[in-house]
Amino acid sequence: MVNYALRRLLAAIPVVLVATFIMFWLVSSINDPLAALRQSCPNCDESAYQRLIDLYNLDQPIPQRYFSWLGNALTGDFGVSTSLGEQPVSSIFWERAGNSAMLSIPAALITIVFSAILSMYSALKQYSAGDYAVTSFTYLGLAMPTFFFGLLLQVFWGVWFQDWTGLKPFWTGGLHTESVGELISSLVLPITTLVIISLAADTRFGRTAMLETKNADFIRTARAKGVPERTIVLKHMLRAALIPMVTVWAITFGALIGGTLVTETVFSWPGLGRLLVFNGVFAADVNILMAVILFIGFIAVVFNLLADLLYGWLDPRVRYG
Amino acid sequence: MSEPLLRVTDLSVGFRAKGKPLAKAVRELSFDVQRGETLAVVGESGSGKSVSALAMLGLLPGTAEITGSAIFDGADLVGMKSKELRTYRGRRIAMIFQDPMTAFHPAFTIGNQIAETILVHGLDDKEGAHRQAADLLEMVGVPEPGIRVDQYPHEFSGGMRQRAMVAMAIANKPDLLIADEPTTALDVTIQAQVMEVLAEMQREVDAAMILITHDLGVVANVADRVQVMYGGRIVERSVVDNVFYRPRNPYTRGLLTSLPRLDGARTDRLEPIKGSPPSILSMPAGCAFEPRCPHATDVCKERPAELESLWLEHESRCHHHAELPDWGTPVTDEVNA
Amino acid sequence: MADTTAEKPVDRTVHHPPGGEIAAITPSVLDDVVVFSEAPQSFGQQAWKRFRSHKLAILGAILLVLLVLAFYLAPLFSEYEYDDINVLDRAQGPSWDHWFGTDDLGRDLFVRAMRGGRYSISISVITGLIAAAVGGLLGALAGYFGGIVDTLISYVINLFLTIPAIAVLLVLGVKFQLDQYKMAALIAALVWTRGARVVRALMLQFKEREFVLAAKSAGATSSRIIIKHLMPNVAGALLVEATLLAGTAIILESTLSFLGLGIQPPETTLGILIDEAKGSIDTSPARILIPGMLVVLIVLAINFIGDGLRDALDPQQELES
Repeated sequence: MVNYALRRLLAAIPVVLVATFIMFWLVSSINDPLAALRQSCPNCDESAYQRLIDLYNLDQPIPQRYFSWLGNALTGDFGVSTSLGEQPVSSIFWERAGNSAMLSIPAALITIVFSAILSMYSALKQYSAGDYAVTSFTYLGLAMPTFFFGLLLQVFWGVWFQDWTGLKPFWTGGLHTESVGELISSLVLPITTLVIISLAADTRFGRTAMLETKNADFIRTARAKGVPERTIVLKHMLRAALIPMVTVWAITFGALIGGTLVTETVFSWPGLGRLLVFNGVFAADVNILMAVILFIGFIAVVFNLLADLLYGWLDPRVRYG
Repeated sequence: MSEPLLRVTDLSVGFRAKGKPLAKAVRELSFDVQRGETLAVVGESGSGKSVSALAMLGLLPGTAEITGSAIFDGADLVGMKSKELRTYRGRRIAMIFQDPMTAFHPAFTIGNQIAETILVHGLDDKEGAHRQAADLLEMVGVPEPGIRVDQYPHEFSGGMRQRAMVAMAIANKPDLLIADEPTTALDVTIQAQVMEVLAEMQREVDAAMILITHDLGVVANVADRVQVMYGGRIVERSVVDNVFYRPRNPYTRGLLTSLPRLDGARTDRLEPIKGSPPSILSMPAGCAFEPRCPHATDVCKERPAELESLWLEHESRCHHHAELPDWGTPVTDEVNA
Repeated sequence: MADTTAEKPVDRTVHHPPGGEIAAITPSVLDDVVVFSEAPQSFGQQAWKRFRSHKLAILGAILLVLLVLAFYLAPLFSEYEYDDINVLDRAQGPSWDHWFGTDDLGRDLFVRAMRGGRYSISISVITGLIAAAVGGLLGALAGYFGGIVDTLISYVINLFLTIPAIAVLLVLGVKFQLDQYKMAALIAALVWTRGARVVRALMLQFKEREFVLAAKSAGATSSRIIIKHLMPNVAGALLVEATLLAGTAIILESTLSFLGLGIQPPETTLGILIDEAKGSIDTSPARILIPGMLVVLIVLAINFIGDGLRDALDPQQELES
């Protein structure tokens, strides 16, 4: 199994490299820092331009620039940010990454736990009122754009609730660290936003997985052997449904870590997503952009690999020696 | 005659789709099984043969409607509560299913699954159950049982998997084995072997067996009595020799003529029965077989026949069983083998 | 013998198997209980029948038709244009004159919302078609020919999955003016991989079936086999994927225009409307609701239809991996 994992990782490296190269090429061809400087600072002298040229290796062709970047990146040097006062990208990155993790990791864990519970409940009590409620929830969740749901939460808790009760229990924006209580109340709404949509998707999938398992022949065999119903659900059904569900969870986990972008924008959360949007893209800060993209690509690869490995581990039919 | 091990009386099983009338898969089925005997239940898909067995063990969906009784050793299985029914399942009545690949859980070892049936019924010793599982595998002829017991179902061949199923079924020495199409999913070359193992194990634990199949060939060597089902009802029942050599029902005859025969001329054509089985949603008012029956008359369209006793232990459900032409099957040595 | 009436009267009580809700219909039980329809029907007829009985799908279809009619026809009944600036009437709530009220520039929100809806519909349709066509073609080629073609195409698919779609959309959106066609093409270029994977998996399955071997031994060319024999089987799944992709496209597009990219003012999309409305979230929080709910309704309708299609075309659904 270790062999398989290593082989997959090695095979994934060229993919990540090509992906980052494409992004680099895209951004470099589109952005022209010299022209931007010319526009924003018509009186700047030669040295300002020269600084930019040095900073971005603008005198070199794009592929060469990419390899310089790559070479530095492999040693941990991701260059310097141009939109945040020339700080080294690495330190900005880790700080922001931590902030994003505060959202994505709890959201992922909550999603996993609740999608398991809801899927099981929904499948076991098929056609009940509870099942219809869960199914309606999944439909709604899948049709709702993340940013809209975030805004709805802000409207409800920030405007209406306050109007009705005079209280504002949760922060509707920003990361507040004055106290643990403040921190938690600023986490609630963004985490809820992240959870709802992935919970809807995972529950939908899990419910289908559970239903198929429920109807499987081996469940009938277990019943025919006299195995008690509780054991059938918790040992036989769960174990079988877990196989597809765990792979979806791994992918969801990866997607959440790399996908806080919209939520962070809506809730003014100082994380990687916002870093990507406002600094990497809007402010054309190439180094930041590349660092974040490399991270997202890497996460995607790792969690996809994890999904495959877990599938192989859980399903003996697929195992690799 | 001693009390039968199993007495089924007027068992009916119906399914109700939303808003549609009750569709009966099994209609007023009655039969007995004596201790130690092998009763073969023969019929095409849709005849209700599997459904009746599943109904007895409570393995049908909760929406199935079951009437009648199935008295096993004094207790009525129909309507029995879960808790009590579980003491019968896998211990006093064991079932062997058709497709061993899907009947086993893919993520647990064969040994684990065989041991489970032992552990669930009282034994509390995991090591002991594991050892027993290996012993059972040896009994059914699985090579290298000590190693195989820790393998997964997909690592077994089809025939071996079915043997493992047999092992699992006899683990608790049941009084009754129900084998639902045990050889249908197997290669023809393996079918005979598995049937042999099944028969041997049946003798080993002294169990009665209900053998459900559509394959008459499988039945000949193993069964004591045969009942033929069609459209949810029994259409003929007797000792095995009568059914094979002196059938008194057009359906049974149709089944027999559609079988290839070793002693037939090589150029003889197989004669399938024309038409297809009726849908349980739209059963004809008269005899269920009438549309396909070469001997049908008007009375057959009007009402179904009753199951009548012909002579010693031979029953047939047919308005014209007495007028059927002679069945010319000579009893030769080859066929008897 | 056994058929003689028993000594006691026959028990007519109806019993149900114990463990009611959890015990379920296993497919093999239904095999034995043969249910034929009265007369043989073509696959198309059966599929249509199944679709018709899927209540949600019908609801979705009706809803979609109503929405499309509203988007394209309703503005004809209003005397306002989407860009009629009328500062005197600014920031009004709903009234007989302005059904959805007005925005900060006095523009009628109803007409603007309808116009935005048109963009959502047209982008989703175009994206769905392109993504389905491209994905279907590449997936079919990869699945059928296998070997190096498959390796190449799978590599490309992996590549597209590693590149974060949002990042590409952002980068391009910032730099370029994107009209609806470019938008649709861009989104399609990023989401086609899902369809390709599904088609490829199905192709791999069907490739080994007897009817393909039969066609081959009769001398059919590869393209003939793919088009005439394999695609009809795959078309159903592809159609379902296409509807899902269309829904995803709407969500992506609204997210982008919410962030200020893609289609630009004074043109209006539902995302732009939400963006414009979030400024007055304190005073008139309801203004974000209308365009947001329209997005949800459109996607919901499309998803219902997609579900109905899935049921109709493939009643024995397989889990997507």
